[in-house]
Amino acid sequence: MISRLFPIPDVSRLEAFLLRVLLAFTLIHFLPPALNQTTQAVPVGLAHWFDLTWMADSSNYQAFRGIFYVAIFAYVSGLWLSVVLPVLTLLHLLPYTLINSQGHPHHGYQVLSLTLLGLSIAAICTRTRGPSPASGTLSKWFLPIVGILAAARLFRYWLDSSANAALARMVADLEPVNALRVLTMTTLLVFVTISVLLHLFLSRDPALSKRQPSALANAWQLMAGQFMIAGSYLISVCSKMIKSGGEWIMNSHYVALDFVKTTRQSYYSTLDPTLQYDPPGVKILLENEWLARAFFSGGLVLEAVLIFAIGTRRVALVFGILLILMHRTIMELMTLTFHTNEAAALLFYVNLPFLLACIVQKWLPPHNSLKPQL
Amino acid sequence: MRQLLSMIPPRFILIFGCMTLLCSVSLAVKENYPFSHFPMYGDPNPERYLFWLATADGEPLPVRNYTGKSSAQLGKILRTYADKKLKEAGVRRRDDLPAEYKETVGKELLTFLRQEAASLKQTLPDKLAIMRTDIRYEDGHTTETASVYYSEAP
Repeated sequence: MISRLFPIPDVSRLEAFLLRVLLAFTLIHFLPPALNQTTQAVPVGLAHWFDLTWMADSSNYQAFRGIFYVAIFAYVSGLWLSVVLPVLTLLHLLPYTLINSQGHPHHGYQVLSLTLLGLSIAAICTRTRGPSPASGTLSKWFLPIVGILAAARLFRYWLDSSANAALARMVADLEPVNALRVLTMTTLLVFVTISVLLHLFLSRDPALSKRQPSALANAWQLMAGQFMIAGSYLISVCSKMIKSGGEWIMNSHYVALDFVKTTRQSYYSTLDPTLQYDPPGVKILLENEWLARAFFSGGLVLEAVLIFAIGTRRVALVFGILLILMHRTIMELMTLTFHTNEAAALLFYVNLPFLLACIVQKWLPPHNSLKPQL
Repeated sequence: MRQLLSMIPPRFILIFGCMTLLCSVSLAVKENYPFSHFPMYGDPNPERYLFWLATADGEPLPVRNYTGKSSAQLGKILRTYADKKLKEAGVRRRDDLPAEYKETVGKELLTFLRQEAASLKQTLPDKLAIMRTDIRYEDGHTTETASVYYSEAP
C-alpha cells in the first residue's frame, strides 16, 4: 500500500514544455503592471534586508519587467533550469514582498512563489551531472541566448504594440470581465506562439535538444509543483487546528459569519449599493450546525489530503477539480477570489498540460522533438 | 524495526520529511513572504468584527476610492499597528489595549491613509473616524453593532 504512494509519473517532453509555457504565462498574467508602494512600513521576507521601494519608480519597474520576461523565456526554453528557476523565483518574490510589506499581507500569490521555490529545488536536485553533449560555443551559449532575448523582445513588442492597444479599445465596450477574458486569451495565444517559435529555433540544433531536462527531471518538476501546492494548503490546516485549539470542525458553522464580514468589507470599500446584501446561506448554515460542519470540514479534509495525490494522474485530477470547485464556492459566498490557487490547481492537479499533450501528440509528426521519450 | 523501516520507500520518507519541514518553517516564520502560516478563518467563533472609514459624523467613506486600500486591508493594517503596541501596553489582546494606545493606533492609521490618498491625488475630509462593526451570533440571531474606534472629532 505504502509503496504505491507517490508514484513517479511519466511526463513526456511535450507535457513538460506545455507545463513550462502555461506556468510562465500564469506568472506573467498575475505580475502587477505597476507598483506604487513607496515605503515598506512592515517589512517581511527579503524586505528585512533589502529596500525594495525602488520598484515603485515606474522606469525601474519597467526595466524589472523586461528582465522578468527574459527569465520567463529562459524558463520556457527548458535550458539551464537549475540556474534559471532560482533566478526566476527570486525575481518573482521581489514585487510581492514589497506588496506584503505594507502591514496588510495578501495571501493571493504565495502559492505561485512557493511553487517556483519547489521547482527550483527539484531542478537543482535533478540537474544532469554528466558531460554535456558535444556542441560548440555558438550552439551552447550564443544561439540560446539570442533566441531567448528575441522571444522576450517580441513579447514586449506585442504588449506595447498599437495592435494590442487597438484590441483593448475594441473590447472596451464589453463587460469588464469579458473584455479581460478576450485580452488574456489573445495575449496567451501570442505567448504560446512565441514560445513554440523559440522551441523550433532551439531544436534546430540536435545538441540543444539533448540538453533538455531528463524524463526524471520533468517528473520531479510536476511532483515538486504538486508538493508545494499541497504544502500551502496543509499549512493552513495546521494553522486552523492550532489557532482553534483543535475545535475548528466543531466551531466551523461560525465561518458563516465570515461570509457576512467579507460582504460588509466589500461594501465599505467602495459603498457600491449592489454589495449591500445579506450573503446567501448564512442563516441556514448557522441554524444547521451539522450541515455546516459537514460542508466546511469537507473543504478542510480536501486541503489535508492533497498530499496523497502527488505523482498521481487520476487522483490529482479529481482533487484538482474539487479544489477549484471549493474556491469557486467560496468566491460566490464570500466575494473572495482565488485565481492564482485555481490556476496552480489547473496546471499541477487537473494536469491541463498533460491533457493538452494527449491531444497534441496525436497530431504531431513522429520525428518531432517534443514526442515523448518514455 | 530496521526491517520495517526498509519496507518504507525512500520517496515516502522524502516527501513526508520535506512536508514536515515546510509546515514547521511556515508556522515558525509566520508572515515572511513567500512563507505564511495562512491564519485566515483559523478560529471560527460567534463574534466577528471589521473596520471601516467614516467622516467624523460617522458617514461611511469609500476607502478604496480615496486610498486604494480596501476595508479588509484597513482592518489588517490596524491590527498590525495594534499588535506592535501590545508589548508596550503590557496586554495580550488587542481589545484590551488602553484608550490612549487605541488613539495612537487610530492616528497612525489615518496618517497612513492620508498619505495613500495624497499619492493617488485624492483629498480626504478634514475630520475622519475609524469605525468598528461587531457581528455577533446569539440565540439564533445575528446582530451587527457599529461603534467608534477612533475619531478626530473634537
